[in-house]
Amino acid sequence: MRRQRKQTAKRTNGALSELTEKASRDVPYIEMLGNGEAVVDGCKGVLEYTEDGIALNAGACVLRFTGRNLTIRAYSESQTEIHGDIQSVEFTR
Amino acid sequence: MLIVKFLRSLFGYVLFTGHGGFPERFLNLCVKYHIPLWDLQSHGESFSGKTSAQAYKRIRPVAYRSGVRVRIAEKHGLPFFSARNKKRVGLLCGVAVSALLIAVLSGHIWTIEVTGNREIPSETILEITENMGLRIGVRRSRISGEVLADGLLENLETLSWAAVNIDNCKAVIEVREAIEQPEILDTFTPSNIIAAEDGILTKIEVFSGTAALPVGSAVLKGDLLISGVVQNLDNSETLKGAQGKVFARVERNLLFASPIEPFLRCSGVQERKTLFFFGIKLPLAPALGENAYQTAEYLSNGDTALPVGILYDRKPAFASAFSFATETDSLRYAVKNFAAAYKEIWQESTILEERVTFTQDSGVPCVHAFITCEKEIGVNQEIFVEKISD
Repeated sequence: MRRQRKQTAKRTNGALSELTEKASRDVPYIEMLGNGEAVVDGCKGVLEYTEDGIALNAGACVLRFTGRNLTIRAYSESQTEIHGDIQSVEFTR
Repeated sequence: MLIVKFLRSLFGYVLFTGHGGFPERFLNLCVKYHIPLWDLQSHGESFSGKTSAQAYKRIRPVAYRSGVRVRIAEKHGLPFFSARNKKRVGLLCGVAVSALLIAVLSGHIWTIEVTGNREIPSETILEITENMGLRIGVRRSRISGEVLADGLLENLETLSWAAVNIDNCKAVIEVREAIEQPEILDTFTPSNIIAAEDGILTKIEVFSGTAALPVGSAVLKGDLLISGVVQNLDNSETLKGAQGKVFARVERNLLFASPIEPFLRCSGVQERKTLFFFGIKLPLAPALGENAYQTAEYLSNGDTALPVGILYDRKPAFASAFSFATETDSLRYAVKNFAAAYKEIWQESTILEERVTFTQDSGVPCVHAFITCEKEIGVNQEIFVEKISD
């Protein structure tokens, strides 16, 4: 039982450290739901904003969403939520 | 998301449009100055978005720095609504009163429902719970479901289980009725079966005891039919509880006529209305006294009734000196009474023969019926035995 607890604690610590490492690497964390919704964590600013394309400063790279009727549903320091008909996602260094 | 929308509406938000300048710089500066933005849409040269009413006050420097000209397109939420309607005192008072009413009334019981009862009338259960404090309009905090359920089980022995659940403003009384204990035949107490009325015996079925008379015998009320005294083979006697069925041919002579003298008859109904509002009763007339019964009409949407309505107290009113105007009415009255008596005989026996005649007795129409029927006439009568101690 005690061994099991130790193993679980090790696994949790491992997962946390992995997440911290990912966050500290200055890369965006992107979640997409089909091609209609994208949530970007770690966005440092908006570089371009039109109906057909949204470019985000993602630190190490520029993240460009192209499509139709693109809207920014929510925009804050921590998270950017993009809705619309997303046709492509491009990473530019 | 719903709570976010609610909070935004509560604190107020604006839909603004932006023209010219650098929209991207505007968005980035907004984030830098902690101005929340949502539902941003680009429309070619311009764009639109939403922000909170408080944050919009801080948007001017950001717009100036980015060269964007911002305009408010729409205002939403409670602060703007109340500002628009601040001169309408009545409306605000109405909103405040309704909010207060909802807050106060939601702490009370509005409806009481009884489920699960089959034989016990709901009125009986409601009467008991009312005596224990559960009535329409009572505060929910004053009610204890467990105490009420225990009280119901104590007062109604025919219940096997009871629970009182308070579902918001509705009290649901759930009950389960106990299965009635079957009647146990007493075969040990010594008894005879005697005739309950006069007749000629047509059938005797003896389960226990000894038949005292053969089929075809004429009996009078009180005659012994089945004896509880059983003779053994050694000529000794044993006392038993006589069990059996004895059927006899019985005659009925019925005569019905309308009363000659004027009599009292129900001529109408006295009514008293009482307004009922959340347990408060406001009578609109004096009390009717004894023999009054009550019905209620509640405000309802067909499914749930609100504790608002009218209670009707009704009492039959008797007019004096009523007599039949025509001979037909008199005959109809006599026939109606005869039909009721005939129905009673038909339900308790098998009718073998009947002769009905209509006659005039001193100008009064009469219905005369002679009915022969077969029915069970045996009734148990205990044999009193004096116990002599050894």
